[in-house]
Amino acid sequence: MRGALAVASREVRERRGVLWVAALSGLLPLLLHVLLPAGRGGPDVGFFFAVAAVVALPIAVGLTLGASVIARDVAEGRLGFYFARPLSGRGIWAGKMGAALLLTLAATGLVTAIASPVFPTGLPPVGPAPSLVLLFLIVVPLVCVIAAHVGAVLLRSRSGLLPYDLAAGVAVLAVAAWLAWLLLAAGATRRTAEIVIPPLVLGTLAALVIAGAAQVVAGRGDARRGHRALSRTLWGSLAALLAFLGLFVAWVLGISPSSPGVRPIVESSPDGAYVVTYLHERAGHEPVFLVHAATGRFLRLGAQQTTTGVRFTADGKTAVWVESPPFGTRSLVKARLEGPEPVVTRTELSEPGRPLALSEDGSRVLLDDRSTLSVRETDTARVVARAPGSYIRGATFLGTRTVRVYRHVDGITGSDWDLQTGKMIERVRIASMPWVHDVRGGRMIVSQDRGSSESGVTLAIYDIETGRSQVSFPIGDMHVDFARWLDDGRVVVVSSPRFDDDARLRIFDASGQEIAATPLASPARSRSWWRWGGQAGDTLVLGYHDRKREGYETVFADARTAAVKRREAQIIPVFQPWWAERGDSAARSRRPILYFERGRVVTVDPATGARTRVPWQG
Amino acid sequence: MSDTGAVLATERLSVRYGSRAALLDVSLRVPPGSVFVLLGRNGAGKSSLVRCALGLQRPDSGRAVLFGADVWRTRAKALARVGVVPEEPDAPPDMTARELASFCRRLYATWDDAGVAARLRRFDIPDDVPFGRLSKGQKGAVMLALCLAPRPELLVLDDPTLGLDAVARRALYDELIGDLADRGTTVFLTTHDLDGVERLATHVAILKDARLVLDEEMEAMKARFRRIRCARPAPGDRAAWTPFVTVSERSREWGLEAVVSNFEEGAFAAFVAQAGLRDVEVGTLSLEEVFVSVAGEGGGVS
Repeated sequence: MRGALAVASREVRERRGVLWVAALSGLLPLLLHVLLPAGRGGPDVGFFFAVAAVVALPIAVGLTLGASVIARDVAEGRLGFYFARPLSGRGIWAGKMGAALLLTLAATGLVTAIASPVFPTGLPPVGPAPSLVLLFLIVVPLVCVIAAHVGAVLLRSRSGLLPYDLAAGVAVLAVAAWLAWLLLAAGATRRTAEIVIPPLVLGTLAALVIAGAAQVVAGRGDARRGHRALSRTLWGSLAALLAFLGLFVAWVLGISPSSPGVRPIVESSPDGAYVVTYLHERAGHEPVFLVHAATGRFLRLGAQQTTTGVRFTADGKTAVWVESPPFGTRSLVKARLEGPEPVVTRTELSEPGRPLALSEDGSRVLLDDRSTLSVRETDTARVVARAPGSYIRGATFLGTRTVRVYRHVDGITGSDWDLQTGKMIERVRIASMPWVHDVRGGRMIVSQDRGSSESGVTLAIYDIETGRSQVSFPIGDMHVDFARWLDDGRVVVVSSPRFDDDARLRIFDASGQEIAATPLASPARSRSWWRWGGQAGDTLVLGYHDRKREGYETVFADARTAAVKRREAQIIPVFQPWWAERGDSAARSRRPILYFERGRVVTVDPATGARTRVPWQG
Repeated sequence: MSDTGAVLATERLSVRYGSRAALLDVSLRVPPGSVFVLLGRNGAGKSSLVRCALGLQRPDSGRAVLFGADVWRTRAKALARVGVVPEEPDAPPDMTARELASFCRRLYATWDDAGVAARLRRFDIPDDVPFGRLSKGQKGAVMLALCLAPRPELLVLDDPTLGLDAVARRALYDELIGDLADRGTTVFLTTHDLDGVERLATHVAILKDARLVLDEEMEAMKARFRRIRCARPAPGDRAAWTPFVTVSERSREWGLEAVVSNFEEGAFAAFVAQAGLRDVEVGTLSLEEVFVSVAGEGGGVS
């Protein structure tokens, strides 16, 4: 310690001139600010020079001191002077680097303090927040010192290792860029940046610091041996860092439905043969998988950010989606789902788009890019028709020549788009605040308004063809989790008086009369989200999850009385979006219901609760 | 101190630079109170040995022991008892002699301020001139003054007279002699100035081609190394130097000359009588002559 202090004080004394430079750099804008008349732009000129001084001086001082404090001794063979005395290598390094860091921070503080009256707030407006200003004024100069020190030692030690250093540097950058590319391509950008960049930067800084110390401590007075120690430590540390990053990337990208602890969102195809799983993020990577429900074999589709809108035909034999990799070719992807192995064909897609609807035979798809609608052939991606369109809420093919498009502006409108003539004719208009709960057999159930405290939300059933309201009935509750048709035309609703209250399971007849109801107490710690599972014979299946998707429960209820027959903890029915449930009315109750249980998909016997696991496979 | 009693020792020390060996299996001992002179031609490995001995360089194999401990591990502690004058004066060029003394004073437990000032005065070193602007001799003098100030138990001088004129060399040796007389300091010295060190040295070692070829006390060495001259034997006769081991043999106009490395008076008288040599002369060798015989082309010690 005594030795380090002696070395540091010597270095400070030798290089104290930088403090004069800093003082003058701060004084110049102050003088300009004070002496130049306001009419001649004195304050502006002073402000400009002050910003320049506060930004540039810390960097310049950091680079200069970092590049000279040890590197000059190495280059001129003078480190031996210190090593020939009772000074430890660590003490020499710490003393010299400590002096450089101290002088850099002192110079930064000095120029900032002297120039600060020029700034209206008294502090340089480098960043939007004081913490950023501090970060800049402290961290950036220190990084400059450390990086310049290592760079200068590498360059000035005149060792034959320099070409290898350059090659290693290029290799490290290439591997880092490749790993970053893998993460970016997987859509793991923001979260990955939050997770990866801080430890990566800190790790790199630590590697630079340790390597700089190793050069002095291990190399002692021998420049070449010091260079070797520095190179070995630096590139070894960075290689280890990259190895960890590589493991992290492999872990992020290796997530699959079978990974322990994953919490997937699962959607089923209409026939239940396939499910699409949207896995919750792993460091921002949210992959999508197409899973064959019977065998568990899965196909990795990409990330949620880059894979949009998996749509199934009504028979569940065809699926279509769009892949938009950040560095690759955008593709319209069509999968034939005849067996456990999807047969996938990709066609280059020149424009972005999100699949909104798929024709019954799977030959055409409606794409929406938020301002334009286009119908394309799924085999060739050829444009069949194109029309302007925005605020699109949903769409469905009426045969292959007409598309019903629902727009959501001041209510909801349903228009038929003739693909041959290009004409779009409005068929349906629902005022106020609609929310489509279910579409089936030419009719749809919507929440018609925001509701009032007296009558609650009003549900309405519309004829899609005519746009007329057939039935309208207030349900008394303010919040509707879902409303679905049963096979016999009755409507099952889960609603609650307010958002945080316990829900009720209710059954309405075709005329809107409530014929059965039962309370659904949810023991979850927080508000529960109810999800429709489906109808299995005379049993209704519904489930809920809590806010964090950690608590699940499935309720089996009597389809006539709504009475709860049994509850199964820690499973929840696979989500069935209404747009995936077309076909005849009997199809729904025949479709197998899949459940999600702790990262696995299972089938459950409604009568006994016996579960059969669907085997996920890679 | 080690159990062998040596202030400084090397044990099978080897240093390589790539494929070139600078030191091979060098083992030597520097006894306390000795003035140990390490000799060798340029590139023989002297500086590498000094660097290893001071813990500045890690040997590829073997070790250097300073005050009984592996110096690579205990360098900073051991160097508190060592004064070093390097081959190239390497003090920071912007510091004056006074500043250098002030800096070094903080690193040692004992420091002879008056001694430094007196030496600097004797050497006529200006107080306010940066080290980088001093002459080569002045730099060496400053380094010597700094090296003696903490009253070290061991002085390590790596070719301290390199580039010095005769006056500066004499001043340096006078300073050393004074210190030796005062305190009996152990000195480990490498030099090419053989005349200068001959009067100081108590022990001599010679490195040749990275190997230690000679290591013994000065007096013993001078006693066993002798030059023998004799008239040329009659035609057909041949001078056979047995039982002496010759370091070098030469044929001169006037006869033959050999340097032997195991001279002994009794054996020599018997040898002369038996060989029937004429006009035999036996002479002592200077340190330089021994060095040239041993380290020169064709020279060697068996």
